[in-house]
Amino acid sequence: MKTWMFYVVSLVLITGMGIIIYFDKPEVPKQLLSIRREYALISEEDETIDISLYLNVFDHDIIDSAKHISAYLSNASSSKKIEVILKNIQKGQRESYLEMIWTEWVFIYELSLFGYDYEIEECYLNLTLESGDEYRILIGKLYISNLDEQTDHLDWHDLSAKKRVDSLFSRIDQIDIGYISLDVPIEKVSVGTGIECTFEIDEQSIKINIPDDHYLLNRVPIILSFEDGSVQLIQNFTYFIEHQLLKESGMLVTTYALH
Amino acid sequence: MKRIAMLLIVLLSMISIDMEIHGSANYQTYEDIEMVTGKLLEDFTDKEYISYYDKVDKRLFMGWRVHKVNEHVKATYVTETMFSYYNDGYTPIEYKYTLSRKETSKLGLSATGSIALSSSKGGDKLFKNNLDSSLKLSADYQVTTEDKETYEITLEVDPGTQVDLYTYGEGKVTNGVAARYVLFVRLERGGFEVFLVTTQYQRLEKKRI
Repeated sequence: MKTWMFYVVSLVLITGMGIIIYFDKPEVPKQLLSIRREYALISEEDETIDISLYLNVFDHDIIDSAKHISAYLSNASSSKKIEVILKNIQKGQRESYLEMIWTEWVFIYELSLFGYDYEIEECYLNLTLESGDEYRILIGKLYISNLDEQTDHLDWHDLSAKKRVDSLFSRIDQIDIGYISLDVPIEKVSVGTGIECTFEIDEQSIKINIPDDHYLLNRVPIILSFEDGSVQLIQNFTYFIEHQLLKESGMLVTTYALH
Repeated sequence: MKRIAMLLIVLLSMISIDMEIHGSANYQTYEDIEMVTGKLLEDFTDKEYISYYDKVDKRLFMGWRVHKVNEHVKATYVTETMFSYYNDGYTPIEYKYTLSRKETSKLGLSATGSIALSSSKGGDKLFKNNLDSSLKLSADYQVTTEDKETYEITLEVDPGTQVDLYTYGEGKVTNGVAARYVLFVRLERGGFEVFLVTTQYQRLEKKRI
């Protein structure tokens, strides 16, 4: 009898301890993280801007697309402003950062068509939810390029890129385009980020050097301007995917409290 | 004494469920994996196993004794073609490719000897008998089986052209040997390996056929 009592008391004590430990956990404040990134987009039908935000909770109105009323992109003073339409919110990968588990949520917005190049140097995503809560989230830099008639003077064969080795951030350093033929000499090259890139051409490849900056960059289009005045676009392509992005982007991360 | 032992067993079994790692990346099928230093588990020789087992053969009252041979060693890998698409029409096609897969694909596990892997409900592999906890891996390795990641690639494919997407990348390898003891009796012994993908590069190729 004594033996059984011992086991029962021990079990009750252990279970009690477990319950106390479980419920005694300090409540984690609901937070949202954004990482500063360069968004290089082309003004064309169906173009979207995919913005990754990270949450440390699973249940919040901000990740329920039905609870979104409106959204726009703007600069700090809102002197530049573009309305965007929420198309979808997709769950991305999970990462550990600052002793918490963060889930990536990709907010996919449809963009309006532009008849000109557009740029927001310090770009914010402004959200209004059904509850009346408003959020203003720094996302980085936005560039929208408008291209007219396009040629195909470059018959390219393959596309790949290298990451900047000496940088603290995940950013494209060099894009390598393998090609079959080049009919007209290239005058200048851009990756839709408002800055002209230097490039080297040899018999079979073009190496495009991307200037360093304190922004993430893994997805860009390539805009080739030829000496005859024509332009060729190689569409937006994701050159690499990071699985430990938060950890590697500490200095670029902005933290927001969720209401 | 018997009561204390029983109590300890109950306590240990409660403590050791704090961390579980799931892996579904079938990294053994990658075309090539190269570590900066050290070797993959599959390349350990019998002689090496014998010398590493020496480090875990000292009897233990309860639990796993672990010897890590390589810890978070950088590695590069090349996988097979992710997708191929051929436009056999007469006009260019805007092709949208969507890849949707479990997040756990960034983690791969393998084991040798009597260390076993089991399958979770989601089909992912995990080490049996809580070896995960004893490996003391960082939270980067802690992922669940529920989440999915989706990649969308949109590109224009000319007629008579085939497009191939290849992936390659960087990861970290932790491997070694471990032995599990219960009341000083060794029940399992073998090698373990965890492969974590950190960066995945994508290379697009197109060719006229």
